[in-house]
Amino acid sequence: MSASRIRLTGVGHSYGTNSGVPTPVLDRIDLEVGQGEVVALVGPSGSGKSTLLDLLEGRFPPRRGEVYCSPGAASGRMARVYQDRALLPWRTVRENVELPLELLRIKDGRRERIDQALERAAVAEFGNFLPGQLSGGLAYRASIARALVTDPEILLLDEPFGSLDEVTAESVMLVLEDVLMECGSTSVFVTHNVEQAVFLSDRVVVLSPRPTKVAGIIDVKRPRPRRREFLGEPSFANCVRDVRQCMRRGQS
Amino acid sequence: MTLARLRQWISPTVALAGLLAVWEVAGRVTHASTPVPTQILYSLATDSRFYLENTGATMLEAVGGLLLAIVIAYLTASLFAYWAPVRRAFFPLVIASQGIPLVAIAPVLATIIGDGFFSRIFITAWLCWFPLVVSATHGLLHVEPEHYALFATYGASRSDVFWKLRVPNCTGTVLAGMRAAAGFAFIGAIVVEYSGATKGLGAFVISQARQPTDMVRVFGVVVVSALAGLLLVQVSHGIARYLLRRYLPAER
Repeated sequence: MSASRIRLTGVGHSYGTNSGVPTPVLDRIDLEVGQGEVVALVGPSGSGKSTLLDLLEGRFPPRRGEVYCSPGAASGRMARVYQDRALLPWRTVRENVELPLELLRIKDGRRERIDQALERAAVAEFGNFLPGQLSGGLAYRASIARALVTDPEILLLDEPFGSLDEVTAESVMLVLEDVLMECGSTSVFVTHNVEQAVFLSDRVVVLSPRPTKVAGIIDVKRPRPRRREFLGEPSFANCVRDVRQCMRRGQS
Repeated sequence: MTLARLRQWISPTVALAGLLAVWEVAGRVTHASTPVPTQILYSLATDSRFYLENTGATMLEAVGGLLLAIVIAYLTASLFAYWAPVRRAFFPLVIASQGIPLVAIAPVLATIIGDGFFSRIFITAWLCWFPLVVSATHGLLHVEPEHYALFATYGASRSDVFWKLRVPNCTGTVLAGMRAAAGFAFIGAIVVEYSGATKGLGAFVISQARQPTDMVRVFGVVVVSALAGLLLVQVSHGIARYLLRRYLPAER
């Protein structure tokens, strides 16, 4: 494996509460993600998956341990795709995709960058639509396009399929596979859907319930790009089973 | 107009016509000093110069007051949104100031700052700035957490957050506030004329209240002020919608 892009060493975190006793969220997390690797974090609700993404983004420092992430958020080479899409409703898809370039004061080749990002996320023909006119799947693809417009080296995805129906989720998943393949970003995504985690990732990191530890790591050895057929293969089913077992062990 | 909408109008129109008919008959039978609807209508039709002149004077004060209030309110709201300490110190005072019955102290204010045209505008502005400042502050502050997080991911500057997120975000609440303020502005302008004005709907009403000589005109003024108030609300709302259409997804 090539050099790590992301390294968490003994990371622990807790949130303050009204009673003054902090609620531990992350107990001790050790994790390394190599260049170009796609890692899925799966775990039960409330296992601090989003907190982990916040830490990777450097939104706040962990209470314990160390977070190394290169390049960091300030560089503009890190992008995050939000669970609720976070598209600005008063901007068209195109203008939403342009926003990161505006914020980062990137002026060169805006048009080309936007066109390419829209193309990659398969929303090119919806550039002039407003978010309110898009279905859930299209809105998600638009938010992927926005993340891709800066050519991020690190891509964080928060519950990519959270609110999508099964059929839409599958088509978005296939689009995402192409996107991840093509842009070669180091990617971390959190989900509670085991099948999608296995399909998209090189490694699935199973998290235990709160306070969260790494309950196990399952390697998905299947080469890329992966196609729909992978879903029907025995190796896929085996990986899914392994992840489920690991989750059960983590629960008990 | 569809049949369903026509239906919506029929019942209240018939009810109003019925009430006016009862008033007309009762007035003519009892020979009361209160004028009957046909007399008022006749006065409105034949005495239009009187009504137009006075409505114009009041309308000028209402529009002037509304515009002044808009300028002051949006500057204040921006200040509140930009500097939290200023907001924490002064926003509660703004809310508390509504405990003062402004209608009751308007005459006192007029005595203090004079009863000229500009002081009437100033008092009118004070009467209607509250819904504007509250709605704008609310809209500027209450942005979607994920939208804010998105801006933070790209290290957006304070001014980018303000102009590209907070300002477009507040247009909806600003429109609602504008509606309320326009209503207050017209009422405000009438009330302010109670103390010292020689022209305007309020000035006429108060002179008649002291020494009733022309009850038909008084009722005509009531009708005209209701219509003019409504007109101000609708027109100012329409203008605001037009100016803000860029940020109103439904308008594009």
